[in-house]
Amino acid sequence: MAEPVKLGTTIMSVKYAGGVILGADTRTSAGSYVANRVSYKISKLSDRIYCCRSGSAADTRFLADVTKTNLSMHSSIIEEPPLVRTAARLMRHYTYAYREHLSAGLIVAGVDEIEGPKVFQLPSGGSAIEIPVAIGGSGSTFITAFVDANYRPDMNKAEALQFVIRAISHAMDRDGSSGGIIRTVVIPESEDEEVAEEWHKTVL
Amino acid sequence: MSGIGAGYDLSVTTFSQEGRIFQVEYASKAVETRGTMLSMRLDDSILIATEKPTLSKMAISSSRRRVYRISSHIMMGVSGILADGRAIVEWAREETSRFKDNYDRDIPVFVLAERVGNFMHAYTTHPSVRPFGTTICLCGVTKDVQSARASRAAKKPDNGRPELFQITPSGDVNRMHAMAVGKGRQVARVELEKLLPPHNRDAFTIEMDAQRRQVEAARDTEEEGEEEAAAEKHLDNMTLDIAAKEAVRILYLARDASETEMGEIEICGIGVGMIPTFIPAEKIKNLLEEVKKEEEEESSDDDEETDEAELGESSETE
Amino acid sequence: MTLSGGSIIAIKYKGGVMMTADTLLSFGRMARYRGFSRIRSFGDNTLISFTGDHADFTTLMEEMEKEIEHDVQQDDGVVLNASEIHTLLTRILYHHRSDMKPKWTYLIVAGSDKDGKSFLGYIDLYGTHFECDYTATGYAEDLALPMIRREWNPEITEDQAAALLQKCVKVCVARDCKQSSDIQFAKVSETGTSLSRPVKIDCDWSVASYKEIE
Repeated sequence: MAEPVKLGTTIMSVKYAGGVILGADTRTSAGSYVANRVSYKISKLSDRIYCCRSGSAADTRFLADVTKTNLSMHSSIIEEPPLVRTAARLMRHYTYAYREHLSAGLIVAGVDEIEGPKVFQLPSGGSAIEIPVAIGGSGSTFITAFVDANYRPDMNKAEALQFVIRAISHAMDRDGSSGGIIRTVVIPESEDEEVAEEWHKTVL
Repeated sequence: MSGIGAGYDLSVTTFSQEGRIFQVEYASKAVETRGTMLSMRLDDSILIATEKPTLSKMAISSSRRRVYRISSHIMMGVSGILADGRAIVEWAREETSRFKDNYDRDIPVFVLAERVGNFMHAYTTHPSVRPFGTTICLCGVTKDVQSARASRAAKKPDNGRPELFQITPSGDVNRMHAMAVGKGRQVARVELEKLLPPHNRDAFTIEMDAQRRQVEAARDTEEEGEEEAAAEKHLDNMTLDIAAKEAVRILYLARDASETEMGEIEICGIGVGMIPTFIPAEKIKNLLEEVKKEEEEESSDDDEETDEAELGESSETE
Repeated sequence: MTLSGGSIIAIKYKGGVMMTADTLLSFGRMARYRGFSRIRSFGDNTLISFTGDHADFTTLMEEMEKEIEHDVQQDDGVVLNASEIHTLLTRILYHHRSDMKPKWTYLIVAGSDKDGKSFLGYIDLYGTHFECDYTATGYAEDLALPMIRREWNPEITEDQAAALLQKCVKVCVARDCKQSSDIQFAKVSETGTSLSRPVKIDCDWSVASYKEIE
């Protein structure tokens, strides 16, 4: 068991008409052993901003925690909920400054009242890119074309959720490092709707 | 030693027995005795106007500017000791650009105002430093949830909302609708209070305004019929151009009558979708001429009316 | 492995500078993000484009944004022109390479100098820099430069320049594994900068009807 715990993973996040959805598998492996089959790879950064983590479990947990702390401090200073872009910027500055030492592929997604739903992908190396749909982790390579072919920005919540579940199911099916169940977080743009954290069985 | 400080006025680290810190109060005096500066927050913009007493005939007129850009969305007016103010300007610029770099958004104006307040306050707590001899007028455009909601309701793009803050040498931060500091502040404040929108005035001022309007309306109908008697001009319905003229008028009324000539007037505006921009000196000169003419006509018109400046003096509170 | 941008081609023409880049960010050989503009416009009169590491470029651009904001703050009528931005970037890149932490980018800066003349400059990760009439980075340095050398002259018009770039890009699309066919064209002249929407560039496939002799 000398091998470090890695999140060989499938994570993704999509923008739909009215919010964002984040999704992830739940397998954590150390070498060939499934260290945890129901792990959480989606972390909360603020009320309506979450992040998906892939890479080193230790590195990404630390990044999520530190961003969460900074974000909440920033939020109390500006006296309102933070922007998604602020969360992405804080994380990018960390992943860039320590790019040689970190192994982290992150997706920051959420909504804010000023700019609406936003998805940022932070691949390893310290980049940050704003895109409508992001996929990451080892399993993502198997579903790139599936996502390219099937994603539409005008999907409603149910369609988008189904899309995320299908995509991650396919990835888990082909990627040995991904598996377990599918955890999703639905973050609606409207203040009246609650954020929904759920889990689903694979649909294949 | 029998002066007002009575030995307690040599350091900011010692309170007097009445709980006062005289050095900080003296710093405020440095503001009160220097050129007038005023600022008005309009519906979607703000302006700062200041009168700069002539330094010397040899000085180049545009020098010694008192309004500085902090960023494309914030400007800062410096009253009192200019050199003290510039130190704050430089600090505020760095703070603003650091915020933008860290959080990928413009610093909300009230956040910067509080930080400038903290910065100035620090200089009232150490024995080795003296307080800043300046009152800061900080204005800018804030894009936040409030402005987003407002523009969504109005079905307009969100370009932010204007905010105005006054920060005194003690580090006090106050959100203002309008403000005036410096030599002519008392007259200027009376004039500015008249321009406050109805919901922002106290009962006394509203009463006085109603009376004034009645008198004016009666006079207007006597003289030239009832055109525009009801259209009341206030901060929330003025354009930046009209406000600029109003500012020139107020500075003119608040001028030091013992001086033969008024100092140079500097006006800078900032607004929703408009970076801090100076109004050209030539335009201000024209405005001043217009104002002078109008005021002279006004005073020859109603010699019998009571002196309004005197009336305002009594309502002045510090 | 990190995200990287591919080739850039830029040439001067009579009255301005024209530049082209694809809109792809690659992860190794994988075409990772499409529709990403690799040409940035700064102020009214400067274009910067990059080949190489995207994270390093982002960081450099954050620094440059601070410089541009500094000009706004000073409000003294002095605004950095392309040639000054180029010089500033050469110093920054050289500083980082001397620190043994080079910013892994090749930059092309286009715009005008203090006299209002067209400016085109190149910088690499070591801080090597020069001003030129035409240049290319990435694989286009090998594919496009020879063609430009053959056809370019100082009197080339805007239309001729556009046609020349088009021709070069076609070769790059055909022969560079990492070149995407969604191409952005940009130009900077006295009237300011303009960036086109990505356009699809297809190449000539008629050679496909060639049959090998059995």
